[in-house]
Amino acid sequence: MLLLTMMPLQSDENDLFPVMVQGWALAPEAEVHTALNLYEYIDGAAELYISYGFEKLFSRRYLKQGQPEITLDLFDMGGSGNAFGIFAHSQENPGLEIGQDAEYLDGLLRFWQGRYYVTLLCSPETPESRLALLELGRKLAERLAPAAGRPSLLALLPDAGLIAASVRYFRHPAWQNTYVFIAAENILDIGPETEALLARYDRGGQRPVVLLVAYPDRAAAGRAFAGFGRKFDLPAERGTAVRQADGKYLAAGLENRAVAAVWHGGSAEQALELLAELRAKIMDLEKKK
Amino acid sequence: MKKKSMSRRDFIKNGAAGLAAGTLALAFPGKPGAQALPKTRVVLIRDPDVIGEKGVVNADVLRRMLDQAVQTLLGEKNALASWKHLFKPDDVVGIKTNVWRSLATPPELEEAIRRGVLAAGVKDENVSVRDRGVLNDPVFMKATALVNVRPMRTHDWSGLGTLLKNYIMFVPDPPRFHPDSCADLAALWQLPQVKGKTRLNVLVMLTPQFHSVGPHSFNPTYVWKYNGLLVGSDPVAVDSVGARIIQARRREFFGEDRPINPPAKHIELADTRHHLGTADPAKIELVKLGWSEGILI
Repeated sequence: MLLLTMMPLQSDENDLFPVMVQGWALAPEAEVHTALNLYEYIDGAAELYISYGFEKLFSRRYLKQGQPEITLDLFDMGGSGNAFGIFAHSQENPGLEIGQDAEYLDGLLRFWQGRYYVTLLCSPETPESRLALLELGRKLAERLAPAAGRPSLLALLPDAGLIAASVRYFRHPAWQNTYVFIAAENILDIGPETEALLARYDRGGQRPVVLLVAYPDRAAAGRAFAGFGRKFDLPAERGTAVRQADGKYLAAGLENRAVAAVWHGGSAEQALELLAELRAKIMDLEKKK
Repeated sequence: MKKKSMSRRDFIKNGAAGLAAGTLALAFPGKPGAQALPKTRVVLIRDPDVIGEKGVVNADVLRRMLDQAVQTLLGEKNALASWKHLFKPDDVVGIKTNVWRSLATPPELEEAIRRGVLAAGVKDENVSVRDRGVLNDPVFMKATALVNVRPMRTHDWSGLGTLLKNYIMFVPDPPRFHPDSCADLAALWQLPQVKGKTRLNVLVMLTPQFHSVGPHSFNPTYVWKYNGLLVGSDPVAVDSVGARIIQARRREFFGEDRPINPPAKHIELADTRHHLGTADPAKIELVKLGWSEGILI
C-alpha cells in the first residue's frame, strides 16, 4: 500500500515549483519522502536512489482537464556528484539544454542540476504533455540552485574516442557490471569512501570499456588491486594484457591511489595503450596537487 | 572425471545458469515419478496473435497458449487432464499474481489459470488470485497449492523481477530480503505458507521489460512484444530461461554487451546455495512451441 506522506514543504521548496505550465496546474498536495520511506513511493527501486546518496524526495502533481497528469519528482541527492551519478546511471542520449544534463524519453524528462536530480513523468505521453514537460523542466531548472561542478574524477578519462553518454559514476558496487561483468561480489572494495567511473570508447572500430576506481589512500587501492588481480589472474609484471574467455583483452594497473582497467576487443597492445593514457592522466593530476 | 559445469561467473555473465543440485520436487499428487526427470522441463510458447495492435490481449489465444504449454509440460493427453494432474478437487489454491502498475499480470491470464484450476474440480470459494495482501487472504493462508504467475522485467536492485521474487509478499517486511541485491530470495520458498506448495510457475513474456529507467523504473521504450509464456514446475529453471531471453534482447537492442545490472544473482544462488531448482541450461529441457520469429533463444 502506498503510504502518502502529506506535509507542508518548507517555504524555499514551495517556491521552486511553477504553479501553471501549458494549462497544467500545480496540485496542492505535496509528498515528501526520505530514505526511510522512499520504498513506499517507489515500488522496488528505492535502493537505486539510496545507493547514490539520496536524502529527500519532493513529489508534486500537475493536472489539466482532458490530459494525463504530470508527476514531478525532485530528488535531493545531498551533493552534485550524487546528482550527476544518478542521472548518468541510465543516460543513453542526453542532449537537451535543461539543467546541467537532460534527456527525454517517451513521456519522461530527466535532468540534474546542483544537488538535485529531477524527473518529470507523463504517461501516456501526448503532444501537449511533451511541450508541458519541457517547459516545466526549464522553469524548474531556472529556480534550482546554481549549477555545480562535475566530479573531478571525470577529468581522468582520456578524451580521444570517449563516448560521453556512456560515462557512469558511482560509489556502490552494485553498478560495477554495467558494461562488463566484473563480479557478483565487491572485489574492488567500492563503497562510500571511493569513487568509481565506467566509460566506453570508440576507437578503431572497437568499443573498449574503461574502469577507474579512486580510493582514500594508496594502501586501500593496493588491496583492491590485489583482489582484482587474483580474480582475473593478472600477472604481477606491468605491461601485460590478459585475454579473457570472451576474447577481449584486459589490462589493469595500480597508479597512486587509483585502480584502472581496460577491456578491449582489439588487441593487447590497444588495451595497454588506453591504460597508459589513463595512467598518464592520473600522474598528471597528482603532479598538479 | 570431474563433471563440467558452468561457473557462477559464467551464469551471471550470460544471464544464464549455474550447476544444479537437482530438479525441483514438484508437488504433483500421485505422480512421484515426475520428480525423476533427468532434465527440468520448461515450455516456451509464443503466438503472434496474442496481443493486438493496440496492446489488447486476446484472451482466447492466451488461454489456448496456457493450456497447450501446461499439457506439454506434463505430457498429458489434453488440457483438462493436465489441470487434473496438477490439482485435486479438495485443494485450496492461491494464485500469486503481480500487480506492479507499469507491467502487471494480464487479468486474462489470471482468469485462464483460475478456469484451469476450477476445471480440475476445485471449488470456486477455494481459489484466490492475489498479490499484495496474501498474508491476510484466508485462501492463501490455508492453501494446499499455489500457482505463481508474473511478468518478467528488469529490476533496479535484484537485476530481474522473477518468479523467485514474486513470493516476497509472503513476508511482512520485504526489505529484509534486499541485502546483496536480493541474493537470497530463494529463502522465501522455505516459508511455511509456501514450501512445497507450488504446482505451476508461469513467467509472462508477452511484453517483457528489458531495461529500467526513470523514477519508477519503467518506460515503454524498453518493453517489446515477445508474445510468449514460459511455463514450468521449477521456478529457478523458468527464471533462468527468461533471464537468457532478456539478456539476448539487451544485446540486440543496444548493439553491444549490456549485462543485466545488477546481476540477477538470486537465480543462480537459488540453485547453488538454496538447492531450490536448476539454473543450468545444460540441465534444462527447453521445449519451444509456436511462433519462432525473434525467439532469441
